[in-house]
Amino acid sequence: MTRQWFTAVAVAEGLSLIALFGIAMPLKYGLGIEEATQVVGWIHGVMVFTYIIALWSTARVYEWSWAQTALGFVASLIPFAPFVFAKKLHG
Amino acid sequence: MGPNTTRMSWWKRCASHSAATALAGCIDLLAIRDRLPHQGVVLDIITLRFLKWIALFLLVSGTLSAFTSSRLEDRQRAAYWMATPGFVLTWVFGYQAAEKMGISLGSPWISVTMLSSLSALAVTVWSVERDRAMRWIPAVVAIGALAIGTGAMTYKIGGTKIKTADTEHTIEVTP
Repeated sequence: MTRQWFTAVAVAEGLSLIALFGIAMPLKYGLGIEEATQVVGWIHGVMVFTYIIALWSTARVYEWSWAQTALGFVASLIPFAPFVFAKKLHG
Repeated sequence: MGPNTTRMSWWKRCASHSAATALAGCIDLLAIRDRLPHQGVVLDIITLRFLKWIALFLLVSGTLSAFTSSRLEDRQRAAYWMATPGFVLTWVFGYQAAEKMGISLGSPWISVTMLSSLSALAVTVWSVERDRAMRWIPAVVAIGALAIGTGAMTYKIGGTKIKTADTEHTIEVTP
């Protein structure tokens, strides 16, 4: 169950990052809509905290090394990387 | 005890634990009725605050069930599929409500609530990683942190800062 939970959190975090980079930031910097990043940015911030808690817990359950856990954290900063990381977990 | 009985008692526990939170939400909605800034956004604010309380209901009931259920699977289900989405949704709806009401995110009670709810979620998730013998210590920490956060949010401990046109300056509003 921990694995499914981590995957769900990783997918949600990945989607919020794509929404921030792919929709909100172009709206803000391209069309000058300042408010675009506020809501999406906040949601992404909350998702990052949740992802870190999920990563920290899952790493202990599956006894990941520090390098694997750090890779999981780095994945949260790159668009689409959380999906790849979660898929690796299932593989 | 068969599997159906176990499941039923788990849901009964969730419902009973949640009743106190729902009651607190209703009292909170009644308490803010006269303090809403603009009548045009009253419905939005009430809706958002109601949704926030539903999400908090999920967070609190998930946390309590994660400590009181007997089977590890039930405890994990509560922590992963109730407390975690409850945490996320509480902060998403809470942020929207604060924006609508012009409340600055620098208000002390928001920082206290954020830290305490994060701590509560972290401890809850940690406690369901495996069956631990000393379950009451993390239970006291997580439930205590949630109580502090809910109290700070309800009673606006430290006062509320209201956003002005110049966001560098805020007006202190005591509870």
